[in-house]
Amino acid sequence: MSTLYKINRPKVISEAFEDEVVAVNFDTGSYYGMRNTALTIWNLLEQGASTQTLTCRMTSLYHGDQQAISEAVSQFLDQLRTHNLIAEASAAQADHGPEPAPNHRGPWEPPVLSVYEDMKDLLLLDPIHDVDEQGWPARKPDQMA
Amino acid sequence: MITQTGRGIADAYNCGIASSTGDLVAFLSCDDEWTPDKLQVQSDHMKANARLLYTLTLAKSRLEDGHTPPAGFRMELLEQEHSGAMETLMARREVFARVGPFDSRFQTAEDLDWFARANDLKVPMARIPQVLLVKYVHDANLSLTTPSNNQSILTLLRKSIQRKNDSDRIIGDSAQ
Repeated sequence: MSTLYKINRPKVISEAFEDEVVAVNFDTGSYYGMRNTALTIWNLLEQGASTQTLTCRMTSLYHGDQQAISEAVSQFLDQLRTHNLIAEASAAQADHGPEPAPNHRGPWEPPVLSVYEDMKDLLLLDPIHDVDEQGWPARKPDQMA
Repeated sequence: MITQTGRGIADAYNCGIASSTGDLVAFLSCDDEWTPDKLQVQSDHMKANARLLYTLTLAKSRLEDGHTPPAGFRMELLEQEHSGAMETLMARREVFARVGPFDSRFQTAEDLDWFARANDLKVPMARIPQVLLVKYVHDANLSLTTPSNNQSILTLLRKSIQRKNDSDRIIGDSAQ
């Protein structure tokens, strides 16, 4: 069965650098480095790919044993779920389906997730991450001009 | 009173450190409050523990009058004592030679970057389990209102991960 996942924003923020995705979970204060094919998987998750699409896409993008790729993708998703970086999404967030296979396939390297907890105390001090249109903090109505 | 020549918070910290003459340096924002015994407690602790290069303490946050927290605000910061960061820092001046100055390329989270660098260098530090700072939260708090805050945090953490990877590589190479 195919499952749709979403990245746990706004509690989770991330950025793709040239060889690594860095993510922070502000609920736990842990931060993460994702390397190798983890960059592609994270990118596909951001695009709203289902597990089935993800696996298809990874086997079309990389040379390697299909069973091994499928298992590695599944294990990586389990890791992301365990660390609450992703959660199951509603069906309303539609999967766009697999894209055509590329002309050139890269060598398969299993995705790597490194977990860091040495900045917990300080990262948990950050009070809020998504400031809404009103800005922050909201003024009480009687304080507004 | 010293007038800052450059711009930004990191530059202000660096300017203060460069102008200091004592052995211990502490930092306070204009909108936060040290408890009356803050400097005494921390300096006594550091005198008694000569190997420590810096200490942090606990803090309390208070919402400024006239403001209400929005949805998603981490309410426990207002309800509970929590770890303190920059405004609870007391450091031996020599630690800035070891860790380096605050990086003025960061508009926000420059303190987090400095602590990450100190941490990666395994600089001896301690957290004193006592509330010695009251932090006031209001609409001019720079880290809350600057959209680039998340960007700064991710960039400094990326640098920290790279340092850890480099350090592992050196340890691995020397073990061979």
